[in-house]
Amino acid sequence: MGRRQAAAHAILGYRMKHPLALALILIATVAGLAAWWSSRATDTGAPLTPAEATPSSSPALSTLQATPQAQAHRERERFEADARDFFARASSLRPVERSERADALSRQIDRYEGDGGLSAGEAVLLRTALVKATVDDPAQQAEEVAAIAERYRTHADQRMAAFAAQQRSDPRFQTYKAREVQVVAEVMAMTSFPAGLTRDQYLRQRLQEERERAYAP
Amino acid sequence: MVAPVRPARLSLALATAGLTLMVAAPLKAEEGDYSFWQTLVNLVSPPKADNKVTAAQRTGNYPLLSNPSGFNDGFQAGRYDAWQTIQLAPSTGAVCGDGSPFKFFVNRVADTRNTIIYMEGGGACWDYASCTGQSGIRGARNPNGIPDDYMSLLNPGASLVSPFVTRVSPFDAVKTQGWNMVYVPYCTGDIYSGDKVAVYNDPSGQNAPLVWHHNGARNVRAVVSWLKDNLPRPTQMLSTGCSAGGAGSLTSYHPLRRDLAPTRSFLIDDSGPIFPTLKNGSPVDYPSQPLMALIRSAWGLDQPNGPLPYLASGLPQFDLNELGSLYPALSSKYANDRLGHTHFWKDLNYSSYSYERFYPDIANAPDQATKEARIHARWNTDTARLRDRLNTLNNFGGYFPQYRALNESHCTTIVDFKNADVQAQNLELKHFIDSVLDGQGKVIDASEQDDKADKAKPFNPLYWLIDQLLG
Repeated sequence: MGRRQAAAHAILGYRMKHPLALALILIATVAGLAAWWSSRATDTGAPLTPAEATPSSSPALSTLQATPQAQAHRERERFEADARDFFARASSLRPVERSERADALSRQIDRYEGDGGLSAGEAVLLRTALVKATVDDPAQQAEEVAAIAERYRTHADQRMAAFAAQQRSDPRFQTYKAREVQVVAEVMAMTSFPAGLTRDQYLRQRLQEERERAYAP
Repeated sequence: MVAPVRPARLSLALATAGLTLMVAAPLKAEEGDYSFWQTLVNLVSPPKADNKVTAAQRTGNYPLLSNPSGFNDGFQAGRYDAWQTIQLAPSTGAVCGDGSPFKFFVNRVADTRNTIIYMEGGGACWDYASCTGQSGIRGARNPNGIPDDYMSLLNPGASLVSPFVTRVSPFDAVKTQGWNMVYVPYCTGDIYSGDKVAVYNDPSGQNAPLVWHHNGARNVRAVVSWLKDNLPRPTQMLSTGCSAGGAGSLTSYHPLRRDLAPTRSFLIDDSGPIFPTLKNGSPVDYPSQPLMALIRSAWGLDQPNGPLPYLASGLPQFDLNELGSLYPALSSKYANDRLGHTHFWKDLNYSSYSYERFYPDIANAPDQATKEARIHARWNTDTARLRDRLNTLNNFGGYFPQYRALNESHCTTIVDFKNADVQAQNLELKHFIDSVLDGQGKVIDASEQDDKADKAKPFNPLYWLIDQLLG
């Protein structure tokens, strides 16, 4: 069953139990049709804003827009739009406004980077661009950018060292690596291989089986 | 603060929205984008996969193998706009070079089906020295595997982040920034193409042999399998990457594009050329011949039913005696796709991998300038042949600027899309990218004659910073 079929099926079932739902569906449907016709009449190929694309008075719309997910989505869109606008217009902003907006963006970068919404690479580029946009003195600019780089590099070095330590103490990985040596020695000593496999194919298959065993839940 | 929404009310809203979006479906910004209504619905009820792996695709050579039932891959379908680590079980066939588990990264959005597959760059390896990361030898990225928090680390790969996979780039806008993003890390040293467990002996005899999994081809298959089973089929799809990732996007394009089955598909291979080279050609005429001969063996490319025969079985024009035939083979097979290749004439990175360890006159050059000149000369020969080949292909463009003061002129699409211009033709790299992603007719071909204008450009502190990070 397709998504749209499933939606219609769900609506049908719901309608039997809740007469009020029927009225809402009709309102939303009419509103949807109106929006569709509106879009056909004004479609210029440019992205449609929510206000253009949907009926603002629809109860269903209000409900969906009130979800935490929708709020987070709007906040993210606002952050991205603010960042684009800032970098496009930074040089024409008055120093105080430029500084305030840069500070606000920096806090947003902290927040999104902290919850995985920005990769380290994305965050570094954004932070570097903020320095370029707000610091006029080239020497100070270089100093601040170098400090950003150093902070990230130190963090990465620490995390990679921690990862290496974790690998060394991971019993599954260590079990596999121990078996890997044994299986390689065994297969290299063989002169014929089952099921018409080549040595390389057989070795790969054997080692995958060892990993499946080592990492079995 | 938003008031909590009662579940019953949300269900009704979803049901209503479901009907409304049926009639409001034409509301979209671009092919593959969801309507505003559908986006709102997606946020609370994430769209499911609609192009799952079939039983037939789970068998044969390079099957699409899924994680076993009950395996925790870490994916949260409703977590949008965040990098998620996707774990792949050993039974998918995926593994990193050192034998540790392979994983990749997804950043999902609610408002489009469109998807970019970005393959990370990071060198290559084919012997003990290069695969162990020995000092002084160009090797391969992530010899110790991929940490779960990889995307939050400023490793060299992350510092070379491309505007293609940057949600908010301070420097460039490109439509993939709003797409679902799939970041495939690189840990096998084989340009995502190999299928061999290599056993490399320590030439000094002091250490135990290195067991190295050149498993790139199967890793990509496992990624494709997961994407099919967990995300909607892309309407538009770009496969791209730089360096090894560019080469990987090229060599994996056919099976990846075939199985993900987007409506519109694009390829941009940045600085990962597979040069037209006769298998047994003379190195004088085909400078990449020694490298190709070595990796074909080291990575198991020619083994029975191996990566190259597998590719050839689906690409009638792919001639295994001349791997550069992959370009016309893809162009012909996917005549409606828009494909592009780009690299700098003065690339000193991929070229060094290609020739440095194969030509004594380079290894023994009396000084750095002579060494670079000898590398450039061979790169010019290879590049000219590739340029001429791409010129003949309608839907496979070639874009060859000269020089950029970043990362040894290696990769045109990293950090920003600037300074990869072809001034004589008044072209910027973005023109080429737009030609691939949004153009009509023949994909742009352009080649810059000399690097005078490029080298006359002022000092770029951002590029300097990135080079420091890489250093």
